[in-house]
Amino acid sequence: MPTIELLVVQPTPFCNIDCTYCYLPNRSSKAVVAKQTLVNLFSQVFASGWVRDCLSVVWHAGEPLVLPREFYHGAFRTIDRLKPSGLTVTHAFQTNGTLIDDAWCAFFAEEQVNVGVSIDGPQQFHDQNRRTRAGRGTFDRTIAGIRLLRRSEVPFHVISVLSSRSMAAPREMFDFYVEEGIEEVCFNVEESEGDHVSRSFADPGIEAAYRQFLSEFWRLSASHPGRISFIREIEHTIRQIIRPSDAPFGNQLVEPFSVVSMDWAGNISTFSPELLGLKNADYDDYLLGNINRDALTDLPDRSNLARMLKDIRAGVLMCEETCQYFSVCGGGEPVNKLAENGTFASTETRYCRLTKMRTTDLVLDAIERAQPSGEGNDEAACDGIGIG
Amino acid sequence: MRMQQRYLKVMSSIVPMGAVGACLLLGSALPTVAAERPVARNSLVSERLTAIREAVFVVVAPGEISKQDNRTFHLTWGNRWNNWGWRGRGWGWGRPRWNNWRNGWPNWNNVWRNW
Repeated sequence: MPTIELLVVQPTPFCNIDCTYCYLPNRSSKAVVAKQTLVNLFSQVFASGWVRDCLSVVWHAGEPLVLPREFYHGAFRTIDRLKPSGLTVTHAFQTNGTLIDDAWCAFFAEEQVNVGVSIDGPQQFHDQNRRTRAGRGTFDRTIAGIRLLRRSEVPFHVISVLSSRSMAAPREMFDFYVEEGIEEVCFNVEESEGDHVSRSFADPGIEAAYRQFLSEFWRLSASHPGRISFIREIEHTIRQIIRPSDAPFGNQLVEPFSVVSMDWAGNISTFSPELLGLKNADYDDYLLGNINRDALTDLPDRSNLARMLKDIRAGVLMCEETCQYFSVCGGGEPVNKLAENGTFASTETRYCRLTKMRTTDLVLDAIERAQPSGEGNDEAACDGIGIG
Repeated sequence: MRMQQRYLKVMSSIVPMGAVGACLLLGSALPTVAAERPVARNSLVSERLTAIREAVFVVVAPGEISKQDNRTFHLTWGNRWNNWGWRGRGWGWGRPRWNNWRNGWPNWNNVWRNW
């Protein structure tokens, strides 16, 4: 039986800005999910037996704050009414921050929403790609939103998409986050997904630049305790490396229905959420059904799911057989394999070299530099910090 | 064997700190960019990962793990390591799958409820 751990719901495909690297194909559409569609989704999810003790719901794939707060207030109460007792449902918004005001801050606090704000660092980096439809930068409005969150004591994290320019400026990035009181940071890279072809990926020095950026940012954070409390890429990788040899591990993105995505019209997809909205004749556009006319529990029997799963599992098996980093990554991300290699049944991508391999190299390097002093005379021991 | 012994000593110090403490400690071991020279290693990445995890296994008393199913394992180890970790964030080892979508938010890091 599948286990749903993450539910990605698109309340609207519309976004009030137009980032140059955005992969969402319908971001000018102002369609809105119907209340009945949400009822159909959550009633079926909860009745399916596919949820255990906790479910994360991310409202994303468009700018969630373009809809009024009353929409979410109503949606959350509907979900509360439908959910079984004992089940914890957490809500998360990924927002560009430009529409945050005091009323939204009060809503986040009241509903205990996990808030992620997309900001790409200081203005000169942020405004390079995160622009309005008229081509103007959005930094001023985003940072105003972040300052309101801080003033209202609403916890939040930021996701920053790194460009070649910002990767070359770790100190500047660090100083910016510290100055703005941003304590939790996640770094994405500009990827090739859907119709978007990454300019960063074309840079032959991108892997070394990414590793060097993370290394310096991490070092700065560790040398200024209490400023940056969470670097997702580092902490996540440390958790995957430092674990008992028999601890269970796996990769949500290659397990059917571990991540379930629903667009505003009720169409359901799984695996990488970015697949929803993309076109592909071989896999019927990755759509398994529509929650308004299909039973959720019938979706595992769809023939296109079987085709996708066959290819995804073939790719994971190839990774397991050939990749030194498999136990950290678990077989990669289907959407990146498809975008970069043209098929799920493939292995290495530029994306995984950057975000998995080079990050793992960095953490291993740090562990080995932290060898107990007095152990041999190699570089690790010489540079060690004297544990033990 | 020498590699295993080194990892055992390092993990004995790092594991009780929890993931957050480990981030701080390991980050402070990094050189500045100007001086950066990756540590040269003869071992394969997969061998180093295996050796680290075997060291962690030894550190955390493996007898308790093998007797548990995943759920009990998670609760047992979550409680144990959350008590040892810093700010209530333990290692989250019992989770069968990783919440690793780039725009998602990990269940173990719910800012409102767990901290």
